[in-house]
Amino acid sequence: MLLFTTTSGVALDPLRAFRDDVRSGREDSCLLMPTATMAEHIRHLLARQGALVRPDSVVTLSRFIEPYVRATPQASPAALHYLVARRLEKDPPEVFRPLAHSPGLRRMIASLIEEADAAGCSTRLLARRAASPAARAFQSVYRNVEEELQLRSLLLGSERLRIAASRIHAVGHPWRRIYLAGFFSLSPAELEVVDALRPADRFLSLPEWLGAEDTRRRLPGLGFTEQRVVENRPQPVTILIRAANEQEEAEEIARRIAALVQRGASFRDIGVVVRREHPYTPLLGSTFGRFGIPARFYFQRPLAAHPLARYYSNVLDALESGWDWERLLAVIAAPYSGLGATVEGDTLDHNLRTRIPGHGLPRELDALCAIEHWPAARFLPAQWVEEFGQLRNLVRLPAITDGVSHQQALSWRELASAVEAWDRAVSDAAALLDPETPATLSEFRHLLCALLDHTHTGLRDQRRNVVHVLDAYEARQWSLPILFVCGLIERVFPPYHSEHPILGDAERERLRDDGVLLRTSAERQREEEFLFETVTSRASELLALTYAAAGSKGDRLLPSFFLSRLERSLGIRPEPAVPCRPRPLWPKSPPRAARITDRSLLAYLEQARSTLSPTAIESFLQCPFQFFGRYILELESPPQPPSERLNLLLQGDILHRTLAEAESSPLSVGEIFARLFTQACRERAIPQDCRTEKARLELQANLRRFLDAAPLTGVMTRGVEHSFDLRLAPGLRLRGKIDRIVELPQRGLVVIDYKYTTPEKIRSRIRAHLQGELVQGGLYLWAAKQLYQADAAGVLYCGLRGEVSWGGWHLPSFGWQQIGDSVEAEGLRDMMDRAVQASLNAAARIGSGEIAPAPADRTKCGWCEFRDLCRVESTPAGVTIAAGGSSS
Amino acid sequence: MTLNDAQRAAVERTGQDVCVVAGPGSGKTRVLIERFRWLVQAQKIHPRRILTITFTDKAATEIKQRLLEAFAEAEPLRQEMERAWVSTIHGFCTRLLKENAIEAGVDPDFHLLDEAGAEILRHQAAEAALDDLLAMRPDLMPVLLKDLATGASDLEQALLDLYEEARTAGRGAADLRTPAQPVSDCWPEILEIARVALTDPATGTVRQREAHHEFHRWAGRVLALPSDAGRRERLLLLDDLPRPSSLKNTTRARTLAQQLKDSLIPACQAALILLTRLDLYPLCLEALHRIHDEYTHAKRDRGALDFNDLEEFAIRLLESDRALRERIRNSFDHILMDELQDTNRLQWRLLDLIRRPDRLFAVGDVNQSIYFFRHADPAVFHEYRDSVAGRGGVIDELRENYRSRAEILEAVNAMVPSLLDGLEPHRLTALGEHAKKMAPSLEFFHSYAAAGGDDPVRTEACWIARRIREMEATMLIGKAGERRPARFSDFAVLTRTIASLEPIQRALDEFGVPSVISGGRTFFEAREIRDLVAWLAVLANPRDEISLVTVLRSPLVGAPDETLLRLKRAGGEMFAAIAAETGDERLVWFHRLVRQQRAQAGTASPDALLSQALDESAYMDGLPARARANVARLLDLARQRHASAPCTLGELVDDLASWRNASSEQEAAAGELSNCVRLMSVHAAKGLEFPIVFLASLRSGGSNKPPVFCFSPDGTLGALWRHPETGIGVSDPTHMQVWALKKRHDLGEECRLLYVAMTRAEEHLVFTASPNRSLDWASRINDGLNLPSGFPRQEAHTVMHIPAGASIAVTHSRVPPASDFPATVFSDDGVVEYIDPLPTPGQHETVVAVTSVAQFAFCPRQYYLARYLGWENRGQATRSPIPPRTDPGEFSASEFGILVHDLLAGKPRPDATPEALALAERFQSSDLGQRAARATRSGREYDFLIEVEDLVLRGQIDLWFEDGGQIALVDYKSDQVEPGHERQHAVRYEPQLRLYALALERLIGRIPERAVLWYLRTGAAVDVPLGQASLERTRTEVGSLREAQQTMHFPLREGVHCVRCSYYGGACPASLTFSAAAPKSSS
Repeated sequence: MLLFTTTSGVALDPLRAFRDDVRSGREDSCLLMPTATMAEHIRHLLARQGALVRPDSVVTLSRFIEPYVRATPQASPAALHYLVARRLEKDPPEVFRPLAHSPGLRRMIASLIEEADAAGCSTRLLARRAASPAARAFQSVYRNVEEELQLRSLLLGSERLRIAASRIHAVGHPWRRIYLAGFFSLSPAELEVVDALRPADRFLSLPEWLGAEDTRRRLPGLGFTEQRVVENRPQPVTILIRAANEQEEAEEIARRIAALVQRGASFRDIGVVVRREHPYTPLLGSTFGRFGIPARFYFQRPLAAHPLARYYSNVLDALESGWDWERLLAVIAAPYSGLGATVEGDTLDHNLRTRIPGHGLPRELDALCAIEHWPAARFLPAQWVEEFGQLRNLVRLPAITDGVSHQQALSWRELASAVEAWDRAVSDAAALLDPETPATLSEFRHLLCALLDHTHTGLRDQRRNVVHVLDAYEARQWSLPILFVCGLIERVFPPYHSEHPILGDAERERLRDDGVLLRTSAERQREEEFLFETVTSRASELLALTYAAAGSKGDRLLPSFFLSRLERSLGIRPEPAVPCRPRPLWPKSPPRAARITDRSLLAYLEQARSTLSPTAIESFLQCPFQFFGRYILELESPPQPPSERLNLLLQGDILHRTLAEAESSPLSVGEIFARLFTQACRERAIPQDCRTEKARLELQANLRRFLDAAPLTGVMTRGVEHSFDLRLAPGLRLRGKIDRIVELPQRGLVVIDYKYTTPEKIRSRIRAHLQGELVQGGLYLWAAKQLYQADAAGVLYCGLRGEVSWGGWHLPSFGWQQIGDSVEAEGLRDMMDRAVQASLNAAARIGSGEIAPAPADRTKCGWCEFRDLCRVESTPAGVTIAAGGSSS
Repeated sequence: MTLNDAQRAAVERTGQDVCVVAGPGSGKTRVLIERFRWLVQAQKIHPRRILTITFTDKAATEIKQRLLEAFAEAEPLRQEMERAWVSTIHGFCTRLLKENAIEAGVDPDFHLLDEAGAEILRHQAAEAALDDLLAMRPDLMPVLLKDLATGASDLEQALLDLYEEARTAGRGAADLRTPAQPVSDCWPEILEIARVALTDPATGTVRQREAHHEFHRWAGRVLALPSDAGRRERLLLLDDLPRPSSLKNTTRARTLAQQLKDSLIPACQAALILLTRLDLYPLCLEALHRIHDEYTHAKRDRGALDFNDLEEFAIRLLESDRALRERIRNSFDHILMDELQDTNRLQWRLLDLIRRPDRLFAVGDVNQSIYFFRHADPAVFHEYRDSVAGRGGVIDELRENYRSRAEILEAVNAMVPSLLDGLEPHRLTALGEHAKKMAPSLEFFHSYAAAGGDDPVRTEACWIARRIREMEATMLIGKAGERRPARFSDFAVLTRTIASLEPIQRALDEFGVPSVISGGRTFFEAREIRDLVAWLAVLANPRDEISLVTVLRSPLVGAPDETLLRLKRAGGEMFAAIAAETGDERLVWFHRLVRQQRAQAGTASPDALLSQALDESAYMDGLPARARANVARLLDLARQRHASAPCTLGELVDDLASWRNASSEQEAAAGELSNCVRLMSVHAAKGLEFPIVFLASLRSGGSNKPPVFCFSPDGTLGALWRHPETGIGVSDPTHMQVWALKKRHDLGEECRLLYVAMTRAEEHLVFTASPNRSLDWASRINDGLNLPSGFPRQEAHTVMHIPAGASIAVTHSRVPPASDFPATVFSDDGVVEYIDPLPTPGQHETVVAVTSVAQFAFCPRQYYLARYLGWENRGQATRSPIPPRTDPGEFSASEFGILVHDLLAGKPRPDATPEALALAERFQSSDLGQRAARATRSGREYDFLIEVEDLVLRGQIDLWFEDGGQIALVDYKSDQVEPGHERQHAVRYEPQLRLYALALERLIGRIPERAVLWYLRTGAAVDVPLGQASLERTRTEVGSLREAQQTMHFPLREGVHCVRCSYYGGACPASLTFSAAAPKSSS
């Protein structure tokens, strides 16, 4: 047993001896390592050094025992999770009952079983020692899981190791020398295997740290003698880098890698270490992708996250929902549906969104009919496996070509792995069920879903010259010339270890008396320091330690406390990160003047503006760009979600139509309203929910209020919903529809426009008219005059929302004192003239190519459908600002 | 800086709970930190036995950092500090619950929902709950929907507001109850007053007498109302009460009418409305319970808690588990509490559960309590202070202000009497070291309107901008001896509400003043976020024209509007039309990139897609720091979302839209901002200080609307109902009481807010106001500083004296000042290094199988599909994953091959078929087999790894042996080959055997003399030549494979063999009418 410190560089000393054996042609030496990646790395390293390597001479411990325990497979984490979940669902111990459905509890119990098993903590021992209700409840679940595993001929890891140890004892093994390198401690069951290797000469290196103490204490009893190594390796250059935020930190790492590679380093000489996979690995993945740095990530990806598994899951979700359209959207968008990112798929997506909510299988997805019988079926597990094979028929494979990027090829390889992993998960799910009991789709899926989280796609990225991205545990066994250790901030490295909520520190201390070593929170916290020391000792030439000063929300972060110690011991100060980006393809696009000057386009505008409605003119007056988007580009908004379809515009429209129809219909207004409302909801697929009901009641009440209000006195209706298309000036026609035209005897025509709006909005409309921002009143009056060849007597707006409110202008008339303002005929003429003039001006400006965003009233920008694209900054409508303030 | 006597006394006080009343700028945080240090160093308290609670995460980080610095020289203590309990109350609860999850009944792996996420979940829950209730109670729900005075809000929002309010107050939905039937409706009292009123003669002016008669008529109608009149009639009648102010003052009628208006009629209306709607209260509570259940289930399914849960669960845990409570209580010797005045009742309850007598050290200033809207209760501070004093303890008061100039503090002190609705009178003493100056340190600007075209809001905003430009670089600030000209970053503009900042920022832009709003727009409204979300929407579906044009007009593409018009004129879909715009390279790029990214969208992370667009388009160039921080945050959001719960882009875009609709999410803080003016609300400025402060829009903001629901201290539900006739909101009795109380609280809070705002200024304080009337800060300042009130109607600039001798420059103006300043060159992008694409040699695999080399040599494309991509045996996507059912003892071709190989390797196979045994026997009895049997040394199924041409080759030699000094290697083939065709068939395996030969050379030291392919089914042996030239050729083939992997070119080798290839007609593009000519590349 070689004891070494993290800085001595002899963690892999047995490896050197093994290499000498291989070079000298010995075929009876074997090297055991803790992780498969490391074993593989060593095999390749030896082969590249010119040796002929026997693959089975460099293996992990679990691979080593495999031939001895082939008949008794180990329970997968997925199986364990399922059995824990099953027990908690069916018969949870009292203390777990409130949390029986909590995903976190299941995960925690499953991993605690693994931890306890590895530490040699049996259920019998727990039954004797567990004191807290949670620990006792855990013991009960643990025992139950063991029994279930037994029924399925599955074993937990330590039991399997013990069986292997006894078989090795019994039948022996072919090796004369066995080296164990890279281990940081060994569990009791692993030590039994080590003991069983006894006939061979055994060499083991072990670091000097608290976590290895127990192993170190036990090894002499297994025939090991102890030797301390005091060799010190040369220290690499160490630098400390401070970035503004995590993104800049990742970019700085990329920048430095690029510089190193340009100076001759190979990507494969470089490693990046993170404490945990999240949050840094996705960020590093994206960043390295941007800078074209090839990297291999030593992390397993759960199958559930793979697009193929998601596609299958989405198909099954949609199936179980009876082909709910909303759920089908995810199916359509999937790359494997054959519709994702296609014009047909886009159209189908658009159409379904317009019609949501609803059910049914669109013809474009006819292939899904093949599995329609599943929800009603009960199949044996083996039959489900067979049935699930049909899912393969629903996959449209990508068109595979060569000459693609390595990243693309990796993605296709991952897909191939995912296909296999899915089949494996389906088979594993079936294997966990009673083979003779039929199950429903939902029962089978329930189990499968649990397994998908614990099944990995097992991607093989074996490119030679890549940067290695590893977690701190994996990195312990590596040695690289250049190493970046990133995310060195408080709570990330080191993370805080809390006391285990099920098996607390007191329980763990008690179990220690029985020789079971389950680490307490304090020990795990101390282990962080050792981990940091180990990781930072893995670089031979350059060690770069990086951290971000702020999080993604701009919140300040504290650097890892380990850094300050290092800063003091090495006397280094943080260097600031240098902002960097991949060289752009284009210079930044400068702001462009919004104006149409091209002759042909101007001609088009000229033609487009030849017929305008008052609403269009008002749109232009509010903002030329709004007019451009709405009436020239005619930009189509994406389909509204159901909850937004019954908006005020539609409500107003229903009200208008109700009032118009009531003029000539024998039905009551209530009946007409009910019919039109139902019809509008049906046509636009508006769900009959609380929101709709509220809108209906409100509309009804407003309608009733209007009908109950005193009618205009002394008038005669001349027209209702009167459409017009009139020549306003040479080359300009005016088109529109007047809600109501009444005649004030001996005075002339009064135009009435209903607005489904509040009194306040009517008042602001009147103000806007006075300021020349609105022209509708004047134009309607002008139109009415043309249509009926009669004098103008007034224009009135009638607000119908909340209360009936009137605004506008009319010739003085008895009984109309409360309705709008009295003006003389000249005033009305002025109004018409001003509106006509404003319209002509607007038309001229439109024709001249004026389209620049210039809102007359910025407060309206918050409601404009083009507010994202006009690039005029405005405070959005209806947004409540935090910190006590409230906006308009 | 050393502690002053008062600070020192507070820090070292023992034997009692400590209450430190710390005014603004008095060194509050410093005292807290010194207390911690003193406890550790002087009192030998272990750092981890001190619990420090702060108000924000930012403060916790700040305090922890300062404590670490304080103990920098004492390493062991410093290390202990790393795990010290310094956090917000939520941070403390999180740690408590994580460690006691089972007892607390929370998911042990719970995650905390952010505000936006929780809000979306709550709305979904409420929507589902109310829809269910509508289906179940079609009779009552419409009535509720109709009669509740929800105004612009809706029932869903009203219930959610109530739900959150109740939770923050420490009440569950179950703790609320319906109101009891009112004991009295005040009608008899009204009748009595009506009777008296009729006896009072009309006096005053004609109009007053007329009003008096009207009052009489009204009283008569009241008295004439039949006793069995309905509530509706009564309500209507009460509405008709004439305005008391129209009656002659000092008359009895006026007094009676006023009494009716102020108390009796509202009380009667409240009682009547309650009686009318009594049957709807249980329905409201049922809705509330359903929302609670739905929301709780949704959180449980996600293993999530929201912020309120943290406190609720922690309190429940501590209250229910006495042993745990004692353990936690005993684990802290001292608790240090910052900003006690901003603590709510729930948090205080929690603190009470864990604190031990005389071990709490709380710092606060009740005059700075401004979070009532978050249920902070200043009474908590009052009660604590009183309890300390009541038990004979000393209250430590820190009134010395080290922050502000004496003139500013004098103004604050002068203001206090006019702010007594919310402030406790205290005098602040200036101790800051400020240099003397002649000009006033206070200014007041009023804008006003005198003509129709005047825009006083703009006038005020422009004046602020101009004043900043005047002061920047000319006003000297800083301590005596350290004076320097003011920079933009020394200015802050504070307003009551964020909305008021918008015109100011526009004016600052106009005047070339760089500025940044803290929490101005919400994150999703930021321009860059809208651009990027639009990019995602285009990827999800380019039919979304709004998003498409947003992207096209943005700096991502920068297409001119004329191009947009041309695209539209082209007809059809806009995105498709872009393809025809071949003359515009950038559009071509955009079109290609979108198509490429759409193809990747299923697998690539959205942040990677966005980053590519940002990088290639140089979008980030010149972007302000704040915008860059926003972009980084969006990328992080997309990345985390993809990593934790991957979804389609359509789903992501929908989610982003929901967040945009629901979120009050603030923009990302830009970290180290450069030289710009800070704009923020007074709330956001809490705890901050600035050399020059503009307190603007003094008459805007602060309007308050009554909630739809509320509850009384005993849990009685109150509601605001619609008046059956007028539709105006009518409070029920509970609502009336609670709302009146809240208005009083709000009044106090407005006073404190003004106090907090003024005390942010160090050197110079400027008040600005325009004539709006929703806030009365301007008049309070006028009153407090003894300035003339009212709105002036002429331009003026005067310097006036205020109490205590300070002076203030007062300006009135109606015209916006002109912007005649030179443009400011402002960029905070810094120097950016651009990285060119890197060469990436060595992208071949580290290891390949020997059989792969052979397959590559035979057909590179087949190798590519089968081995490199791993689509082995997956030529047809439709292949069933289930192996064909076989009878026991029946093997597939490959299984059969393995079986025979096993037999030949000497492995026992009890399932061996006679055919397999016969094939094995055939080899064993052959000449080759006989020689192998008598070999001096041999190896079977010999696995190996060797390096050839920078590739590690992995292989397994079926058999090698040495006989008569000759080395032979044998590879068994179970392929179905027609007798006589073996040699032709063997060509494809030759590279494989040659590589085996090279492996044996490493093992034995020489190339074998013979290499044989043994065809098991025909019993034919085909010798493979192992000459140097052939071996060299094989090495070259290995090199070619490596090169193909590097360049990713795997040419297709078409030939007759294609028809037997499993990829033919599937993944392989080999044509049906192939020619057996030379290989060609398909790429």
